[in-house]
Amino acid sequence: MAKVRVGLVGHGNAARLHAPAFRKLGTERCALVAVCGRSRERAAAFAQEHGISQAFGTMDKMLSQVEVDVVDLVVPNHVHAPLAIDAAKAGKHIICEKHLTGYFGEPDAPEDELIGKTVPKAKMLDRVVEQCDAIGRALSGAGVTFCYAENWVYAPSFVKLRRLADAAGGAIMRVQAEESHSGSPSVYAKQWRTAGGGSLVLKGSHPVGAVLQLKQWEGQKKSGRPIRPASVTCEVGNLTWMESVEQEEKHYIKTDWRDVEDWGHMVLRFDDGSVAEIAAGDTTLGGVHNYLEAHLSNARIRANINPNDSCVAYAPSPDIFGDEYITEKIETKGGWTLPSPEEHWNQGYPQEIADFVAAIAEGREPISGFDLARDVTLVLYAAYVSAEEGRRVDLSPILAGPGLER
Amino acid sequence: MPAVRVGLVGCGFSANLHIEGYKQLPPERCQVVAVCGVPQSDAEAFAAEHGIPAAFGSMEEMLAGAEVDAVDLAVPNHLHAPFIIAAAKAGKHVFCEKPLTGYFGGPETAEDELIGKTVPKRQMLEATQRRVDAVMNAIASAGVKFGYAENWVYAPAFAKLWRLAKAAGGTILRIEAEESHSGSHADYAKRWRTSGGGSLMVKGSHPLGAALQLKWWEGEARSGKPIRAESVVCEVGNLTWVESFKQEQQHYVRTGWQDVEDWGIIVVKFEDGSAAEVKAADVTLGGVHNYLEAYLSNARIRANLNPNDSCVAYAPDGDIFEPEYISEKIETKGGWTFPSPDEDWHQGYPQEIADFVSAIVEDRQPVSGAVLAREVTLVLYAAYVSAEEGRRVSLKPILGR
Repeated sequence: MAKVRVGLVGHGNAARLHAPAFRKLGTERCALVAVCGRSRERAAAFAQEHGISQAFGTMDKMLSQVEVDVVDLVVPNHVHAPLAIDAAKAGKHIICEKHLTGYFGEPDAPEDELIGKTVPKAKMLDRVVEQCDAIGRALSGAGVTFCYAENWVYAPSFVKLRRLADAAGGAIMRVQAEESHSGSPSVYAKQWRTAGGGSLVLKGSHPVGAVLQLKQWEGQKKSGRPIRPASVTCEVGNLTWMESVEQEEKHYIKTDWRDVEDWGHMVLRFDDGSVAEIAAGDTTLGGVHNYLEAHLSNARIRANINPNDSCVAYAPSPDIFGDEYITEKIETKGGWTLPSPEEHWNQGYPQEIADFVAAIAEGREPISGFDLARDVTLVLYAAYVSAEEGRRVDLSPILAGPGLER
Repeated sequence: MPAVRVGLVGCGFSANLHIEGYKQLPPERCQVVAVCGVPQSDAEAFAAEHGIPAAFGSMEEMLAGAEVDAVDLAVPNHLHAPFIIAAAKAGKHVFCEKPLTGYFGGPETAEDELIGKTVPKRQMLEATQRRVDAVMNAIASAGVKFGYAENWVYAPAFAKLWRLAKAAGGTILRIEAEESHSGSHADYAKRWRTSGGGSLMVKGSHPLGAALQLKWWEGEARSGKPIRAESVVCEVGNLTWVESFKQEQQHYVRTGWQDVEDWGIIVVKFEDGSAAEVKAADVTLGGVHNYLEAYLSNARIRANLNPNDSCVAYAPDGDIFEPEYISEKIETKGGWTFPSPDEDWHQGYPQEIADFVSAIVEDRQPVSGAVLAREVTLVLYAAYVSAEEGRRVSLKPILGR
């Protein structure tokens, strides 16, 4: 099998997650040959730190000067779509962090406009449908593989859940799933202009992705046809804007959400009559809370991605464990804790990268590919429409679009 | 450095566990280049299944016919010592399944003799000490690396427990650890002649190894000097020989133990005054129960190797999840279960193999090496002496200082 040559686009947190996962695959399988970023100096520093031989200031320069098979887009959400289209046109396979794309304002909107308050969600949805179609056309035209970095799909406890569900064979009647924590510290997450949405987009996209993949896979297994989401009903809110919360002297959860929700809940109905309840919050104490529970007709299975009790610890005071990591976003290291032995593995990061490299080498679709990326994006924005308009939104006309030509 | 070339000795259960670990390493790092086994046709079938280029009928033939840097001994316990010595003399690094060695009878002992009933444990301990010395001398004089396949030391939950304990910096006052399940299926596990002991030997060696390692690390971190075991008190028993149990029509736990215990507990006291309670049983329902809990002066940490609630499932009938795997030795797939997403990973198998290979590449001893292998073996046999003689056994003269 040919070696897959990877060019990293971006050098932030996501790049730091991906780089070791590529290296783990071995140099015969995969090589990180270049990195680019808006700051060439920082890209060069990243390259040096990670043993990558070349660094560039833009993706264009990287693609014109280095032979790469695949670009890994580990950049802010609003540049995913243009970079993915450029990369496809250059004939490169694409690995793209979630989300695929979103609505980030019109090109001429002022940087500080609170578009989450001013732009109707139905208009946002229209724009996002157009963007998804544009990306889909670029991919189809170039015949390249698109890998959607939805790590939940690869998380070992979710994979086990899917295998158990397969073995049990019962109908998946109801799914509950959630990703929550006590709030993103970054400023960009607090404004629609840069984030493309609130809790539902930034956190909820994970459980939505896992739920859609699970039902799609169930349908393929049972009838050779994916089970598709049929409608969505959604509520969003800003719980940190509550009067009594604002009056509290000390906040343990993050505040200052500007025009995005800090809590959301959607109910999906599928075309087989099953349902999914998906929650996302930036107001949940106790560390990242990631789980998916499937209620089958003949079984019940829960994947505790985080926390789970692989390791259980107690400390009478929070400084006792010093610098040792406990788990993402835990507020205190005191009391009973559930430390994550290897968070990346539990979250499916190395497994996701391994599948992407294998898919590209073998010329097949990855388990998490463009169809899932597109469905997640459209379902999320349809959910926002539902919340704003206070009504159930029919998904079939929205999801019916062209998709990938194969 | 070129890839580490490994020759597998044995092609059974352990070999299957190890080969999966090797496969996770990139080929430029490590390659399994040969396998040997008896009969040779088994080794050939194993080689064909796993894409290993050469198969042999004995370790001797393999070492003569293939270029290997290290041998991985995945063979029955009584063969560990002679194979380690032969491999070390041939200048090969050695990876060895636990336990390091034990007492399996003398050269004249009849195959079917129940040595667990006839040979005094003190005599077993002395014979084991001599064998351990021979193995240590062979490793030391050949200057080869020795990897002791104690996977608990590499299990992510245990590794995390140690990092937390180190960060907390408190004194590890007490350790509780256990490996239990409802009984080994293999006949060889039921006779001392082939197993070298019962529950304590076959299962207890894991929690014991992890507990000894933990105190060793604690001492090194605190004062640069390991904290070692000082004395041992032990009880063993055969709970499946209980009369009312024997009268039951259906047995959910394994029976047929001939001259080895099906339950045991060792209380180790360390030289710093701390204690460890290490338990092992072949009479525990509910799947493999592997955990270690450390009680520090300023924290408490528990590593749930198995079961843990990474994945939780329920089925009203036992056949609903067929054929999907749940977890080792679970009796039914019905009711609430804790399916292991990746049992090998949770148990530390791939991590152990990766460290052994790294140790050779980096010219260092593995994290789990000859020192731990020796301590575990000697403490176990000293524990058997304690149980038989009904008294605390001092470890200082046995382990040396």
